[in-house]
Amino acid sequence: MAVQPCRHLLCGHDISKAFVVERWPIIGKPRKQFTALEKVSFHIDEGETVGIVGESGSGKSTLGEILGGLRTCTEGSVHYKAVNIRDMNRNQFRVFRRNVQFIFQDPKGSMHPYFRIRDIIGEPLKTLKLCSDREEISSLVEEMLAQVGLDKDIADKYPGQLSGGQCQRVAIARALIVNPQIIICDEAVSALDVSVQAQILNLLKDLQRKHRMAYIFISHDIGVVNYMADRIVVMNRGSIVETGTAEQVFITPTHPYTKKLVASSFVN
Amino acid sequence: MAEEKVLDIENLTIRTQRGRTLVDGISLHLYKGEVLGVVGESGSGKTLTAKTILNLLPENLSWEADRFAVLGADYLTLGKKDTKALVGQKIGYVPQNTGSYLHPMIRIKDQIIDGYLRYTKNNRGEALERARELVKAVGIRDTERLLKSYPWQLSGGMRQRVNIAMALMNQPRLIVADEPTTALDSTIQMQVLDLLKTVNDLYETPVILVSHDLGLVKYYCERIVVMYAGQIMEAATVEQVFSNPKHPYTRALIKVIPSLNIKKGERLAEIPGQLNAVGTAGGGCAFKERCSFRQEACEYTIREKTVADNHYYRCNLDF
Ligand SMILES: Nc1ncnc2c1ncn2[C@@H]1O[C@H](COP(=O)(O)OP(=O)(O)OP(=O)(O)O)[C@@H](O)[C@H]1O
Ligand SMILES: Nc1ncnc2c1ncn2[C@@H]1O[C@H](COP(=O)(O)OP(=O)(O)OP(=O)(O)O)[C@@H](O)[C@H]1O
Ligand SMILES: [Mg+2]
Ligand SMILES: [Mg+2]
Repeated sequence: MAVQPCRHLLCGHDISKAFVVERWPIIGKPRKQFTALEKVSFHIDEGETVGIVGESGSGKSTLGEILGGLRTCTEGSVHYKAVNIRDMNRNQFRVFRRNVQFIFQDPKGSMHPYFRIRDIIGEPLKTLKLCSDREEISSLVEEMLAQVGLDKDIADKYPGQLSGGQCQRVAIARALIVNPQIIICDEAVSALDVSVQAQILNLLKDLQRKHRMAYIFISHDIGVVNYMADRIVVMNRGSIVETGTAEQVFITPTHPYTKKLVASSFVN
Repeated sequence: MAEEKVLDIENLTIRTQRGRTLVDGISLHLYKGEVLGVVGESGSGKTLTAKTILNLLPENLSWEADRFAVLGADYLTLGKKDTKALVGQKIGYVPQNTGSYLHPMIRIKDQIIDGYLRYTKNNRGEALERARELVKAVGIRDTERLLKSYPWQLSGGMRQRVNIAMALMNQPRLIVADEPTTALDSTIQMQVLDLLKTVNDLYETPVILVSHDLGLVKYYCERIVVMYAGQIMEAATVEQVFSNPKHPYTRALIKVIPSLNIKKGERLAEIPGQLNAVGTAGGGCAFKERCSFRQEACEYTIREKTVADNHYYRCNLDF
């Protein structure tokens, strides 16, 4: 089937992903596979926030990574501004990678332990060849630190010296520094205490208003997703089982998993 | 019941090599069968405190205390080797950073049973059986695939649950869980915490639950400690903290709990300002810059007070 050209900012068609769990010795051919995603379609437009919720292990992070070009899919395609990312030349791909940034679930794990925070935040500028002037990078880094509510002298520390919440804010600063169009937030605020969480969510909303950024907001916290997202996608065992506005999904859930999720939520 | 003190920490201070204070004279007590919640601002020293109990403090930090007894063993006099054995054998730890706590090149099943085999006389088969049971109990369906996997083949929530299962392997006498459910949705979160609660009920295993989720702490804990900038601002029973909070920070914290009812366009309530560096209060209150009840006295002095029911707080005001 020919894939329709896509009008959305970013979209994925019938994405499937199988991980090789076991290989035959010597020949190296896959012996056992695990299907993490099965024919998932997804789209997002400028300035929009799409929430992805779903059971642990249902494939949310895998989907995010495929949409952001960090992983390839086994089947299906991802289009950024109507261009299939597989068909992009190097320059196009660099533009794509600049415009789609990530904030990960495990911020410490995604940071090099021997890099100073200053270099971690400034790194995307260098790898994406946006800026090489040290002074300029340095002032941008400090501006970002202020935006996420961190002190300037954190810049010279190492990730191991920060608390969980501080690390998460560094990750957010690193994503913001290249001024992306889309940020994929994978459990971006789940490690934060409520007051910092509120600060970050407010910040993300402000930035969205200012720069018309789009967010793919992966979270298990339906209170947060409900607050952030215009549209919500519910995943279960590798497929999308329900989509709709926050009201539709959380007030009149139809899938058993969504029902259970809403019923068990601590928030009221 | 004669109350048995499991944790007796008096005046714990943690400093960097350069002498910067990170945790500033806190006291913690925990009794058998109790579930203690530790909440507080990000960067306030919750994890460092937990790590001291686990003898896992990073090498560039050092601690001192007037008293530091865990499960009857005095850390101030106990040798390095004995402390390590005590921790490995009797304390179950769920670290905040689950990803980096697991070894990437070792299969889950071998990691999970490692500590168990070291400290019990049971064989590999029994160990695996126990691992299987625990992994099921934390809500993992694909038990066999999980056990055969390497950590990087798992999702964040699965890794976190592996850590929880691992913490329970040795039938610990104390459980220290640092943000154990941040990667889990509410359905599994409840299942996991119910499991901890069951262990707590059955064996009277005391639990320290570090969490930023006040709703969860309210539900599972008997007593709460509220930390801010390396100090304990308030410590009381759950009822007291929620019905009669004495410290302005605690009040602010309760006010900012997000709820499903929040309107879309509305801004979330936040506590204005930033956590300032520990030890910069200069004898005064560490929270003063952000406090809406600030008085002149808060600049240079702070009053510690304990009212009825062991309700401790650190504030110049009475509410
Ligand atoms: N590299 C890999 N090799 C094999 N299996 C993998 C790999 N990465 C992920 N998986 C599997 O794919 C499934 C989906 O993982 P994913 O990380 O996308 O889940 P998730 O929905 O983000 O869950 P969580 O809420 O726990 O983060 C899981 O069962 C996981 O074990
Ligand atoms: N190895 C280290 N060297 C220097 N400073 C450190 C080190 N580890 C932690 N810190 C600092 O100590 C403070 C307390 O850290 P800790 O990890 O205990 O915070 P926390 O209360 O657990 O916060 P969170 O809720 O964000 O996890 C932080 O300001 C952090 O930057
Ligand atoms: Mg995930
Ligand atoms: Mg912590």
